Amino acid sequence: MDRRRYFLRKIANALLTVIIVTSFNFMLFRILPGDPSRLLLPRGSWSATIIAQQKKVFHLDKPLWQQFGFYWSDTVQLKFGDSFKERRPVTAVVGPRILPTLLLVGTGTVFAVIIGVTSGVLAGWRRAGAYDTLSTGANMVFYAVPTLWLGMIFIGIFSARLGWFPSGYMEVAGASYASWWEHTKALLDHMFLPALTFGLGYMGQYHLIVRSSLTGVMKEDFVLTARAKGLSDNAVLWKHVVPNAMLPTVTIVMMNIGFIMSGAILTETVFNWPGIGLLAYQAMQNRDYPVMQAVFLLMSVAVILANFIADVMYYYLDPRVQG
Amino acid sequence: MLVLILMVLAAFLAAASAEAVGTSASPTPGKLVLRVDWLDNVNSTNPFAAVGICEYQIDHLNYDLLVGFNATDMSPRPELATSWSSSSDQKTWTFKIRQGVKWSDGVPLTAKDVAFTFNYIIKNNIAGYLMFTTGIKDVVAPDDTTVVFNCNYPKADILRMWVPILPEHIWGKIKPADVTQYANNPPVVGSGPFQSVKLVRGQYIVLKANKDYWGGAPKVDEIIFITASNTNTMVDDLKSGAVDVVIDMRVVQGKALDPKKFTFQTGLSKGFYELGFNCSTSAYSKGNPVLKDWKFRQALNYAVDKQKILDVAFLGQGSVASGVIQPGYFPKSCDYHWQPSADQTYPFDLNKASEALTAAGYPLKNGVRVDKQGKPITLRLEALANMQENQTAAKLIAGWFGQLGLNIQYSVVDDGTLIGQQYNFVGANFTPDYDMFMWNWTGLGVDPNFILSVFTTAQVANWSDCMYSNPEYDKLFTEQARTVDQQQRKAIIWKMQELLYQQTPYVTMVYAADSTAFSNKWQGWVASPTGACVAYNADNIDSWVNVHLATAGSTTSKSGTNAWLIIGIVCAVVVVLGTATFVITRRRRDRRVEE
Amino acid sequence: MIPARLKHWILIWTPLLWLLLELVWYPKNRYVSQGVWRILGGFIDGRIGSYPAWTLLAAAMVFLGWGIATLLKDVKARRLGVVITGVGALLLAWALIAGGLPGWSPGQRSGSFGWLFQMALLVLLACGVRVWAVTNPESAESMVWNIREVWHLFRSNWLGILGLCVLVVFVLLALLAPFLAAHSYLSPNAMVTKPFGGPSFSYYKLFGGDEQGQSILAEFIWSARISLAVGLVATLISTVIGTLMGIGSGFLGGWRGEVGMRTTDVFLVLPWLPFAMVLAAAWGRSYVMIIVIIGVTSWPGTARLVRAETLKLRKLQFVERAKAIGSSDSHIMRRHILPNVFSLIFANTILVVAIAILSETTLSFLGLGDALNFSWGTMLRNSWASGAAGLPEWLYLLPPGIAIVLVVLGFTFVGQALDEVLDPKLRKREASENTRPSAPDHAQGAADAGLVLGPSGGMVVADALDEPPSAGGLS
Repeated sequence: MDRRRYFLRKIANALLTVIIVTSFNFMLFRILPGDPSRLLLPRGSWSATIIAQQKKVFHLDKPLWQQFGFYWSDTVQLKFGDSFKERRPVTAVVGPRILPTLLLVGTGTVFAVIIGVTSGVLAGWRRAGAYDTLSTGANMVFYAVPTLWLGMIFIGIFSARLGWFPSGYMEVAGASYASWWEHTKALLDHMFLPALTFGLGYMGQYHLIVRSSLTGVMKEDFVLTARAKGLSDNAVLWKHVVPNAMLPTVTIVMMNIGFIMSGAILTETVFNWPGIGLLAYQAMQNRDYPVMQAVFLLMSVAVILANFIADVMYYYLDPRVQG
Repeated sequence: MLVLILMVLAAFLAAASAEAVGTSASPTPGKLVLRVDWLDNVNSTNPFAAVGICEYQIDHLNYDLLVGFNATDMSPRPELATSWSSSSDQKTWTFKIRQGVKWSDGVPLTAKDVAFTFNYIIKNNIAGYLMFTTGIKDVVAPDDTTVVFNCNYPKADILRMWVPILPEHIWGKIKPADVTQYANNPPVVGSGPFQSVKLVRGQYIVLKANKDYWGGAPKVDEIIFITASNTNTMVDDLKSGAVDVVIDMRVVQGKALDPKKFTFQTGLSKGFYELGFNCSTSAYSKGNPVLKDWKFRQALNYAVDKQKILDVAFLGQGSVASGVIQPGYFPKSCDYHWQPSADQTYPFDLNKASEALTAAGYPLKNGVRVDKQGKPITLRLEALANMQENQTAAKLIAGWFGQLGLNIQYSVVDDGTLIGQQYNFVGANFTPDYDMFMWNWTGLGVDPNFILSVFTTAQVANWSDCMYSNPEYDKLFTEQARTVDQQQRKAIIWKMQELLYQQTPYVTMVYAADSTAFSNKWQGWVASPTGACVAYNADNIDSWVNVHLATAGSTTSKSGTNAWLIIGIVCAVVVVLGTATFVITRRRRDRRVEE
Repeated sequence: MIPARLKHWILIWTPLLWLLLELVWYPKNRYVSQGVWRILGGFIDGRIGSYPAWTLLAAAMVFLGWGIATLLKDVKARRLGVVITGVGALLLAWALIAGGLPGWSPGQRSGSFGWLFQMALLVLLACGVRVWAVTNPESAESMVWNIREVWHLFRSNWLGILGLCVLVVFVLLALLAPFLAAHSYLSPNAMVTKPFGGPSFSYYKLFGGDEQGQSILAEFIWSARISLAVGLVATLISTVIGTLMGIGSGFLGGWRGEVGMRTTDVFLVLPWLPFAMVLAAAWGRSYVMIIVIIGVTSWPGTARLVRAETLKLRKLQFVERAKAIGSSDSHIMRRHILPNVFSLIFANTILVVAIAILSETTLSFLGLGDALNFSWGTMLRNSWASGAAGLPEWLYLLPPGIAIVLVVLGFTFVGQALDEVLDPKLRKREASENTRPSAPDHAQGAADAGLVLGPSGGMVVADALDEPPSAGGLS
């Protein structure tokens, strides 16, 4: 397909989805019960002028379609209002939480991809061999285990019993570090269990995909051709089979990245890791709608973006699309 | 993939460097730091925006009150005021202000700051503190060390006002309409023993000791209050030495601590947990009309087994409640807490409850309780999502009431939803839309004025959540607010509690207990009236000022990290995988093209 | 006339279904300790078969409509039409009685006749199957043969059998819950030990006590019901929506197909967990809410899969022929597309159940579940909130987690086995003309790995292309 047409189409797709999701976001939060103007104020009575003022802030006194207009203009300017709980702009609340989440899920994903893919290739190459049976069995279990439970087990073993790792948080509160290296060491210390918990599930998943994808590819004619040509096993494996088997893996990895922020909610809650996930959970408990709205939008956009990048990568990786 | 790895490394470096820049310079050797874990979260260091009891505690560490509270019996003692006297009609009170006190930015503290604070609250109707300033006409500071309160009537709680004194030179510049939004960012300018210097919302707050405190410098250099998300992490932290004090651990966990290394205390907190009813007599109220009849409500007392609720829902932490004013926080000579006599107390007896209901005009018909029109009675019961104890208690209560033939619809809601139902307005009409709910009250300061006011007609659609209205009670309330003589006041307050016990706008269930656990390395705890010395008590903060290490030395947080262990694990995994790859792709003999 | 095997199957499965339904509705206040007669009496208790009246009415309408349509259409199918109409009439009568006469209300449930109606309904349905088999002997034969073939192939897959055994164990655990653990042990004041009391050899103290001293064993057994039920019902909803959307958007071109695809895409990118939290905040917390949330957020996966398949089938010649004859779109979708995607859907559904159960665990853990009931996710939440992980209380942490892992693995194994069995065989047979060998199908590859769509990890079937690949072979 013509490159320009392909990309334009994908971009149009992505933009359209963003628009729909953002509008959906608006509707979603209007169905929630409770009068926001009252919810923002501490318990007790406030003068009618202050309540009216609250209403103005949220444009609640205007008809729905006007509210929609305000919502769009605010969103585009990244004005999400003030957090109910913390009484300061939502962007200030959400901003500092993005980096910890990226750190956690980035590390987890990197290790999941590297180990999972390698393991899957090895398992698929010698199917039903010793390595395959063992690793696939183990990875199936990793895939089936609920992340939150795994996290609790790890805390129980490695924190409570053995005391090897801290049971949560990203840093020791209020600590100051002598050097950059000290700080990194402490960070690693705190990050190990959460990243491990987060990554194991995905590792199992990637192992399984790569393995079955490899099996499918190995049945293809061109593999037979390659062997008939006299290429060594290694060459066949790494130069022909693996690249073709990677396509679904790449797509799924990219799409997972989109969902990663949602997936982080559980891990961060169990380990008290100060990221977007924990923020979403706390916002839900506190019914902090502005924050929930922003987080929801952020996560949706992340997914759409990741899908778009997957489409782009697909274009370059799968020659059939170009042809 | 490469892109991803690069992203991760970049994030790593960014995080590491960002933190290193943000924190203070290299750690001072020998700095004494006390670390405290609690489940709460400090959102704001602005006393006018304080919502949770933890914020009030931080505020009392940053600021001083005019008149403080004695540790043992919460009786008034000098804080910023060194002495006081009243006129003969007790409508004018004069306080002498301590001399030589400075704000943390060096500006001297004078009586003008006191007058400013109180006038600001009164003139601008700051809801959070109005409960303490009712009855004050205005406050005048004739000179730098004298403050005069002019009241409309003899104000009974004038010596128990929990109002933090704020610096005029900072707060005078803030527009009253914006005052609750004002961040009052650390470092906070206050006169108290500590100064908040760093607040990371949702995580921790750091307070530095004020070496020039008029009451003597605190013995620690820093206190850090850390927000934990659940009790697991708190217990782990205490055991590993990462924190020194834990507030609000569960009794089970506390009792499992090694008494040689840790001390665990529990003590009654201020306030109570209750089952509340919608007693509104408004024509628009959407609550079940049977709840308007106090005899109906009173009969339900017999169907609540408070001891069982205490044992099961609160795990025995606390004591059974009766009057709305909790015990333990008053001098023994003048205890405002009222205890019903043995024959006044409602025993748990479902038969008695049934009889009482029938006698009040709500008989059983085919096993279903009907109202005076013969229709079956359905009552909604709501418990809050974040209060596990209330949910368990509600389940028990739903069971007991169900046995009386009442149809109970139980649901768990967010507090925003419940508040919305309680303060529901349809147009201009007040339309409370709920029947029964479970909640709790926590006290600020110890004067009973506020909690008693909740049941007055004036507070309907305001602080009241049961919409109780009784002119006789209102009269008693006004009377006690103006009775300065303590014994006389006590008699009135007892009468009021008795009236409430009979009329049952609430079934008070339990006085809950707070808990404190701390490492035995620390000494100097000042005992609180009820036993848990540093659990949430914003009234008296002597413990924090006094606490010190048992043996001299400095604190070092756990510095041993397992970075090398982690790096070792990672290397091992890489080696294993590499070997496997080598072995598996090596074997050329087995040429299996098809399986 | 009717294959012997089918006769046997009807004879075996009808009573089994009856027993299953009885156990699902079995009243919770009859305990084993009360004696045999009381237990047997439970089978005719008033609580059996107490479906809400509106569901019965809806089902009655469906069957009546179907029956009358059959009667009017085909002389040969008269007997079948009579039976179907009979079923509809029975359901209508049941619906009316369940609603309560006089003063019919849609939510009300029947008093004491549920078990009778339920039994009669099953008998009538069995008769219906029999009549159908008699009037359509070839279809019956081929169906019997297909099922036997599938079972044979399935049996040789030892992983599938293992998974099936595990599932059977847990389903039995859930069904027999009223007999294995008295429901009274779940009420808050039924303490068997002190809080976090350790295990001992008494039955209910086998796993010790939870943070309130209640029997963990009793909670564990009753949780099986809710966890499995939520997973199954949510999957059902998700599959139905997904199939409809998939076939619809795949088959119908033009703007309808576009709209369908857009909707699928939007729901695919919605982060399901925050979405679930918002819904729960809006409409309250309950397991019904969790079912709805999972159903509404996990259908895009199935839809995508079905759509890809439909797109392939649409191009095949037998569909072209049907169009040439003049069959309507809905007819083609129903009679040609649907049976061919059915096997794909079936295997996919089993895998989705696994993910639905994991999702339920997540949602319950975050506190969106019911206040009064227990599921494995709720048990994990209680253990985490009460500090069991820090102590650590292994007997509180391990059983629910292990159960979830086993059940998920069970469904995964069964699903994968079914996938291997159903797909290559049946699809090759049904597709009368398959023009070229398909290029490595990424969708299939992912499905092979047991990874379908759903909330849990958020994995998506890789189908980034809009059209099927146009050329095979790779260099």
